[in-house]
Amino acid sequence: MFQCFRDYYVFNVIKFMQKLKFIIIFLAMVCLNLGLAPNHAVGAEEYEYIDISNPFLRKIPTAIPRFKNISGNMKGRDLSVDLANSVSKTLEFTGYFEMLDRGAFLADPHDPKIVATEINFRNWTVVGSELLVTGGVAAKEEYMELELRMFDTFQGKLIIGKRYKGRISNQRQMIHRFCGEVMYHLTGNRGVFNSQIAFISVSNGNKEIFISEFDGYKPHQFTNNNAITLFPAWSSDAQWMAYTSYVNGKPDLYIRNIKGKSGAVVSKKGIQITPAWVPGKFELAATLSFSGDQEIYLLTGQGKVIKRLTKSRGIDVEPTWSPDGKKMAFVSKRSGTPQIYIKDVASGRVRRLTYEGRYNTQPNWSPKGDKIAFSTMQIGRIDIFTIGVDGKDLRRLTEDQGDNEAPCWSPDGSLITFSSSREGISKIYVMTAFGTDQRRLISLPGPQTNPKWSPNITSN
Amino acid sequence: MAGEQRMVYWAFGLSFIIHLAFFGVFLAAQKHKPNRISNTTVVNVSLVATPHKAGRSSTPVKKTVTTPKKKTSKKKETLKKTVKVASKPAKKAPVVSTSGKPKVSLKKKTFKASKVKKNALKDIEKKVEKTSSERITSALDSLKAKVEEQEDVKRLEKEESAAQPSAATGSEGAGQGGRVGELIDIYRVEIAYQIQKNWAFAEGLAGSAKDLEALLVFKVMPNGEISELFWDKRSGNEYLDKSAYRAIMKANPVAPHPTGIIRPYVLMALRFTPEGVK
Amino acid sequence: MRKKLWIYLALLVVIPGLMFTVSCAKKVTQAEPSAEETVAEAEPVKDDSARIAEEKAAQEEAARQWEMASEEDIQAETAAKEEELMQDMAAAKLMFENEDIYFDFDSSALQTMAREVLQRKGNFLFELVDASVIVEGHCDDRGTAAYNIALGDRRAESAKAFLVDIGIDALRITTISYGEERPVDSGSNAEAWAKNRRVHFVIE
Repeated sequence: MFQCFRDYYVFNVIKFMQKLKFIIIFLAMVCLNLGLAPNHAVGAEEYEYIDISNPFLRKIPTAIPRFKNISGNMKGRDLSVDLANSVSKTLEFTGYFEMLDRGAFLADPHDPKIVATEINFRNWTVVGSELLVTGGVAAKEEYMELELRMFDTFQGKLIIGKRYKGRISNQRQMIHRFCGEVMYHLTGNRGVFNSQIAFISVSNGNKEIFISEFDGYKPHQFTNNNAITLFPAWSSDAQWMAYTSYVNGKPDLYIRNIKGKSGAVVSKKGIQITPAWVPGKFELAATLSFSGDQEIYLLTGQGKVIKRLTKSRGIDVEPTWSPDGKKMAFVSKRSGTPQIYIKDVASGRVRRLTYEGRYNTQPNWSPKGDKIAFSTMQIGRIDIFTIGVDGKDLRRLTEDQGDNEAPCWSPDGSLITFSSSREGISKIYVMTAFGTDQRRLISLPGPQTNPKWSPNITSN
Repeated sequence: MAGEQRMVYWAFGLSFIIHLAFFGVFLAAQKHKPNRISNTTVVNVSLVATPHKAGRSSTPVKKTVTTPKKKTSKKKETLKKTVKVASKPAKKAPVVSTSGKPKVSLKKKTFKASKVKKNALKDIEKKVEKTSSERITSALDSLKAKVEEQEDVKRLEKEESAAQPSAATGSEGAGQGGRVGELIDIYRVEIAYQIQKNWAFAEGLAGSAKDLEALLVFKVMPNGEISELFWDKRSGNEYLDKSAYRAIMKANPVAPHPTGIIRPYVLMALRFTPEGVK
Repeated sequence: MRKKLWIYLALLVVIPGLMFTVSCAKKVTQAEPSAEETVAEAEPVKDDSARIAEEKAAQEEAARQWEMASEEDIQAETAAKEEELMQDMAAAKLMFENEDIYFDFDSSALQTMAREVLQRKGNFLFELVDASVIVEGHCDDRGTAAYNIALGDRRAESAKAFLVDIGIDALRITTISYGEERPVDSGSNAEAWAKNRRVHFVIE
């Protein structure tokens, strides 16, 4: 449209120009007025750039062909497929990789080449893969030797090469270690492969705490209280678990060593709920109401009150700490509706973080420190959002799929676990920090809620 | 001396009148739009129609397809291609493909067959629908606008040098002179989207850096081969730089020059800016 | 809502009325103890020693009989009274424990209706001096678990505060919040939610 009248304009100009001699003056004026400097880009020093701002695939296309059966026996043959699938699944879990279909590979699947000198990288770039993971396995009785490599297909270069020896039953650990290396190469941290997830599931008609591995593998019951048990919280060394339970008929706070039974109980008047460990310390914040008002207190790991952290009439619950332990976000009803606030512990200053919506709860501070995930209830539906710690960049992560609650970041900050009723009863799910790749994590019978991701557990 | 001064006054006076006329036309032009378009060349119509409509309507694909279909068979191929660029990502998100080269079709197979989970698919589709098509079409829009601007200038020059107006009628004849620039720009957009479709970039891997920008320049030979790729500016983020480089290398070779372009090479300059990264 | 209100009001009139008639009926059917006088005048006077002895024996016998009788009577009396009281109490207790107070969404403020119910509960607790009471706060399943436990706590606390205000010893009242963990109606509709936003009372 713009072009039309410009054409018209230009046409007029030309008419006059033919009569007059001041073509150059006019041209200059026309150009100036319309702001179009004639630009013949080809061959010029100044390039005319075309913007490419929208990646077509927001993952790394990766090829993992079936592994090479080095030992040549039956066991090795089975393993060569299982292990390749296992590595594939583990990497896929991170949400960073798009696994290419093996059916499309050009390389011979029956004779996998696993070292740089043998691999024809062109075969892999042509199918679109940017990374190639190869493996070779030699199995003997219950032991195996597994070599894993990752290549940059465009540079034809080995990035990671590792050899693992051990029992076949320990294959998960080997794969996790290798995938940890892969993540370290790509992101600078070792991912989530050494973490666990605690969550609430029903056993014998009571809510109890269960723990599974990061990918939902091997869930087992952690508490056996035969009473409502809620709000699991990992200490930052993953050695302690705090939670609320109605063992004695009312919501008391229990602090328990992961391995033993030792620990403490906080059993004052009223409620003691939503514990949150201070990063790097044997201290935790929790909501207690012995004063008649629900306030957040700082407690020692033995359950002794150090000090009161919130001072406002009305509900204050669900503390969550910044990674440096200097700030605490929490839910307060001080403005009339539940909203999220951030308190600077040293200065005591409190500021409100969320303004949109009338029911913002369940804050969880990202381990990277820049964002807080939380849930919002709108028209009876609960959904998960993230917001910058500065209150900007509000992003919706779930939509139109039942209630989505209790977000909790993975220790590397790349994933978020949450509970959702999208399939009817509440189950545990996981998604990337951007809300993509939402999938069910745990398939136990009955409802599951309130997942809490552990820090990476260093001592295996 | 006085004569010259008078001429300058003349010039200013005329300029004033022309400005008046311009703004008059500016206001009136909207109604005359269809007429104006019918006056321009075939290529021009396709240019204007495709991206503009695509960019403004919420369902960009269907409308755009209809206009170019009526065009002459000679132009059909290029037209289809440009339409494809705009429409493809909106519908079948994970399918990476362009024209009928064997390499590309292989890719197509790869991505189609890959067991992309329903959610992921939906997600991508949603995203693509929401952002990509809009952005692509708006990018196309701005590009076309640029092309038009250039075209104007070129036409100005042409008419200035008293070239015959018949150049506009023959589509083949447009191969010479100013129309080539326009063809080249269409070709460039096409190549750019071919490359974008090969661009894989996981936001989470770029770290927390903001306002990243990677500038790459290269030549496209007549057979579509990419050569002399170099960095005009690196973003400083290794992952972005690598991913941009890979996108170009994966797209190589791109579509060959269309028949209208008779050049030893076409220079391409791309700016990679992941908007999703915040 | 209004319909419900009328029903409640009607119940308020009918239930105490019923209880009254029940206790009255009991009292009418009960026999009055009258043994003592008749026993004392039973025997005429004979001779002195024998009479004295007899008298003594008689007196003793009478005393014994009287004692026994009175003992019996008292037993009968207390048993009946206790039964009556127990039934009274049971009914009152049942009502005390069955009648919850209700709240608006995300609110722990006591409504007029709730205040009336609490006033009656207070009167009951005045009579039952030894009883202590557990006040349970509950929420509907909308909203999130932790916040709801805090909200249930506030609901229980506001009920408690009302009772303390009208003179019930705070030490007799314990609050427990269950949040959304123990709904009475597991439905997912306005009616179920309204039923679940409650404070429930239990006599210990």
